[in-house]
Amino acid sequence: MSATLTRANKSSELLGGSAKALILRVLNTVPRRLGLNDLMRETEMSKSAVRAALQHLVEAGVIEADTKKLVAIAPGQEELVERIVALDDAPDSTPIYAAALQAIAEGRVRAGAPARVPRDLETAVAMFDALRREEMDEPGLVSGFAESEGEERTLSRGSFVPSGTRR
Amino acid sequence: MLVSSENYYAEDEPPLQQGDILLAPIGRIEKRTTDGSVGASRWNSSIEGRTAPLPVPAEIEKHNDFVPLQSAHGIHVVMVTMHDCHMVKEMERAYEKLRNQGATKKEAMAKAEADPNLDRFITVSPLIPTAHVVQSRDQVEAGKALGIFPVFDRSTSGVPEGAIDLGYQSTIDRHTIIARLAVLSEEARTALRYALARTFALRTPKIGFQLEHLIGQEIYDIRPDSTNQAVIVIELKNGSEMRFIVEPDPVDPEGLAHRV
Repeated sequence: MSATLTRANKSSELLGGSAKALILRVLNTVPRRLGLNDLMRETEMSKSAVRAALQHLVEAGVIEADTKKLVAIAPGQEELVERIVALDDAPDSTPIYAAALQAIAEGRVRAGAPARVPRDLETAVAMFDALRREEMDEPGLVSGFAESEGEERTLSRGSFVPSGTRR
Repeated sequence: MLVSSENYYAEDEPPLQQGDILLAPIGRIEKRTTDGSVGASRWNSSIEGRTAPLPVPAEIEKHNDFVPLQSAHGIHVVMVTMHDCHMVKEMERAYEKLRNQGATKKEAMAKAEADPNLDRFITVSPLIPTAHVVQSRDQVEAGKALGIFPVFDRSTSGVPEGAIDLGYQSTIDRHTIIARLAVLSEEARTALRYALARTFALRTPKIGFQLEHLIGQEIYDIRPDSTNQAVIVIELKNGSEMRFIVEPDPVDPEGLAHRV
């Protein structure tokens, strides 16, 4: 069984990612005994794409076709089909952050950590002072989180956030 | 609380804040695997990618019940879940101290911001691509799936459509942030806080939001009246107040005899 799985994997690898996706879609469909037209409708694939996918699956011994061109999972291969279909859920070889790296490389996104306060010092000081004034007017209410009693004064950027965010 | 793709992202570049989508490291501690692979999890999507054994004191390791540990870590697209307040707490204290020592405002600000050891750590959660999210996209976007928060595609910044797994909280050094990919709008940030509250604190925090919606104003505080405990004062953001009188129970006209 493992040799068959290897063959199936190898054929799908040779086909590339999109062909592998087509094969997986066919495999998800064939647990029932289906004809070519049924497969085309259920997978929303073209006739040639379905045929190509079926050919690889037949060559791999995963499915079989009869004289009426009806296909079904080959006897004893049910578990194999489940395992191949499960491959679709396996981690993608392309990391999720590949597009982000590309965006950084192309200058669409600025690299580096953002500052915690505005980069312009005057703006930053004004922000801090405004927050301190507000805090003195409204002790313990910054961002809706009650602060502990005591001498420590609270300063946050939460009050720069508009309605509905202070909880 | 509903969010939509139309009002999800902001275009400005504010300081680091809750809801920011980052490219950053992420990690968790788990039981060590025999082959050094990342252990099984509820995420089919790869998050961590790498592992490293975690050494522990010999006294613990020799114990029969000890389970060997490893860290699972990697680079991922993540969302800042920590509230903005907590990103300037230590900086605030340093600023005050410097001011008390005679530094000018600008000097104090520059020095406090430049200190790399202040407010070093933030919490982040990973983005799970839609293909690996169990719940339907409609449910996720409608805010009906507890523990996750929707993310809309922003391919120009390298952010795919998916959902943030709020149940996976990772503490990272803010200096390790590789890049900020996107900033959330105020509407989306409000929805995020709502989702965080529902995940970690309250299952039904919507009452406060509904009350504000009905009143048409943000509620700043609610307190009993200092002179009359039967009066509840709702203080609104615009400075006005609403006063509610708690009505006493109606008097039974038949008195005690009715209850006999």
